[in-house]
Amino acid sequence: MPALALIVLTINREQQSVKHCNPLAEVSVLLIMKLMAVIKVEHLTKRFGTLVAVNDISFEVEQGELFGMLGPNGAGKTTTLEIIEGLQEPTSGETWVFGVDSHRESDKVKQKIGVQLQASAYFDFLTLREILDLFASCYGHAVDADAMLESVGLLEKRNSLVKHLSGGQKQRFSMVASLVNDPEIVFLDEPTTGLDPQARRHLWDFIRQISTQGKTVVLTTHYMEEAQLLCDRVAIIDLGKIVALDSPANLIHNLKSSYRINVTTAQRLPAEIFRQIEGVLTVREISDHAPKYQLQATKALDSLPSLLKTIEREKIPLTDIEVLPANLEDVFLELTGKELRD
Amino acid sequence: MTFFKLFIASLKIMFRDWLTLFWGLAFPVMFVVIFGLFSVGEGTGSARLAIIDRANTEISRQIIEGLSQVKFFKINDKIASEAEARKAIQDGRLDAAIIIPESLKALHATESFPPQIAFTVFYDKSNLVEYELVRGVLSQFINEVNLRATNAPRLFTLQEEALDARRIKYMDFLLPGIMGMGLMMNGIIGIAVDMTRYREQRILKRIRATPLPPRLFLISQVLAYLVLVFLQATLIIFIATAFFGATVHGSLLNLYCLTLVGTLIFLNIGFIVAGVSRTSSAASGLSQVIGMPMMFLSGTFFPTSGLPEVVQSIVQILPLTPLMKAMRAVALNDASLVSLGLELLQVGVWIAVTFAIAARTFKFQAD
Repeated sequence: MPALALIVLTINREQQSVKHCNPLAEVSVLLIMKLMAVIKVEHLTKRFGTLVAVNDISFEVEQGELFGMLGPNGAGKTTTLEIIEGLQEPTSGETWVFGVDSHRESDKVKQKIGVQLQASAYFDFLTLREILDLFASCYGHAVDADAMLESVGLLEKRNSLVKHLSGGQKQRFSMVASLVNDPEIVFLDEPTTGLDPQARRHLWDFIRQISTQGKTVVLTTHYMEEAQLLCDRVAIIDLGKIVALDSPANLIHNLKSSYRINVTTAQRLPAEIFRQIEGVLTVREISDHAPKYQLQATKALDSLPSLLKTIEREKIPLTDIEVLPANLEDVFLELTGKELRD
Repeated sequence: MTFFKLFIASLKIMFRDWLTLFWGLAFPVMFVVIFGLFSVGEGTGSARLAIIDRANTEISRQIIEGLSQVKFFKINDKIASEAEARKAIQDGRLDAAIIIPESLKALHATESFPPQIAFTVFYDKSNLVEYELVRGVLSQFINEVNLRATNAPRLFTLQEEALDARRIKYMDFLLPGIMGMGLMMNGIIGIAVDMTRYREQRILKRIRATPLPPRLFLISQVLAYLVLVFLQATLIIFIATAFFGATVHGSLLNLYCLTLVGTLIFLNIGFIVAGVSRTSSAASGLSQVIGMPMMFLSGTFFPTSGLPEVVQSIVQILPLTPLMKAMRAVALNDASLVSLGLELLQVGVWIAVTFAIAARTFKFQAD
């Protein structure tokens, strides 16, 4: 929709300012740009025997986007990705990358994309430099391996073997190895799985870096905060279907309850006390060491005054109040009725 | 250029993997050494013999003199009694002892024929092969003595004419066998384990995610293995000839050609094994199951002509058999490749058949 509006807007402006120019030419250029959604997936289905791994999925990824696929293990994220990359055959449906069918002309597609596979290892007895060199030559490219390694902070490891790297270093290496052909689209499959929080944050910086270079990034993850922090748009996937697709902010905004109010008290209370508060949809006791109640509310601003009044009236021995915006975890919970476990 | 880089990378991977490399190269060499040590006495043509002279006559001295002339024997003249001789044989210091009996004295006293005079021979029962030689030479010697002593006319003589000046030693026979075993085991196990491991580690998938035609990667692997087999063959030939007296009687070039071409069969089989195995340990096991019987049945260590009929027919359909025949024909009889048309045809058919099966079964991806 915004792109269409842009076309109309441009036509108008062109007609006003440059009268002798053919407005249709401008329109067609813009239409092509719009049609060049860099990835297009239509009615994609993949069955393994009786198991339906991907169930009639359709979506598009736009140029320069950082696109996330969020879902639990086994939701069909990797299968979808590998079909787009031309590594697996779909049962039905079609996928295009830059308007090129990723099965009929998979070599053309492979030339333009960078792929990081989930938990992929590299040759045991080649150094990092040699591996980058080798992979670059697979594309008929030559690379400055040292510069690439430096960009992910692995320069001093250039003559090491992959098995001598830490988990985070391995993932960084595998990410930089997916860039040897200077691809326009980079696919990262679970890039931070199994990493400690610090290594994960470190990797997020690199992913943002790739994105700011103008490359389109598609990543899969089962970490809610990763999708929320990194991605421009997120497709939430469960049981082979896309259950929601939007920007993280919109996904959360469209929730019935966009806020969590956590109330910690000095002694245990019946949860019913909080039920009457304005705008509160559900109340859950989430006590750990102190009694704690989580209220899910549509709007924090509406509910807080009412909450404070209740506290005063009922003489609740309050120790703490937290107001938190909802996150993608809550979106997943609301859409699928399941927790997106870590 | 890309292919050259791939090939170099494959070589680096192979030659940096010391442990695997060691087993690939050392295993056949170990066989050379073991068999070499077993057959080290063979062909030296000597046995240590003690003569205990109980007669001590002119004739017995002549017999001792005669035995000393036989090149095959190294006479130990320090041993004078039967007990000493028995002890020496038990200790392994002596191969055999012969006793000239006292009854020999009677030979001179009468003109008529004395009762038969028996020479007693002791030998080490555990060294049968050696004894067969000793016995052969001794009985020939005794015959000769008989003939001379009785002045019997010689009606027949055997005029010996060697048709083949070469003397084929067991090590000569063994050398191409071990080369065959080495190339087969390296080909099957090496490729099968490497490929399944690459698949487990998703390296094959990672390569398929690039525009590189997968066959180029496979060809580079095959070439790296041919280099390995070439080195292995060289090492086997070197150790067998330098340390264990083996001789390659034919053209080395032909032998190497057969080695490399024959390896292709087993590399194909390796790809088939990798195609049907899910894990690298399964591939390793299956490779052994396929390789071991072939190693023993295709005449690697001993000629197959002594095997029962049924087994023989199995032997004939094994891919190592024609290759082994051709390699032996070259190594032992200097056969030309043209004269090995049938064997080469069989090898060629095996390459084609295994390639066709490999192409159908081997997959880059597990799913």
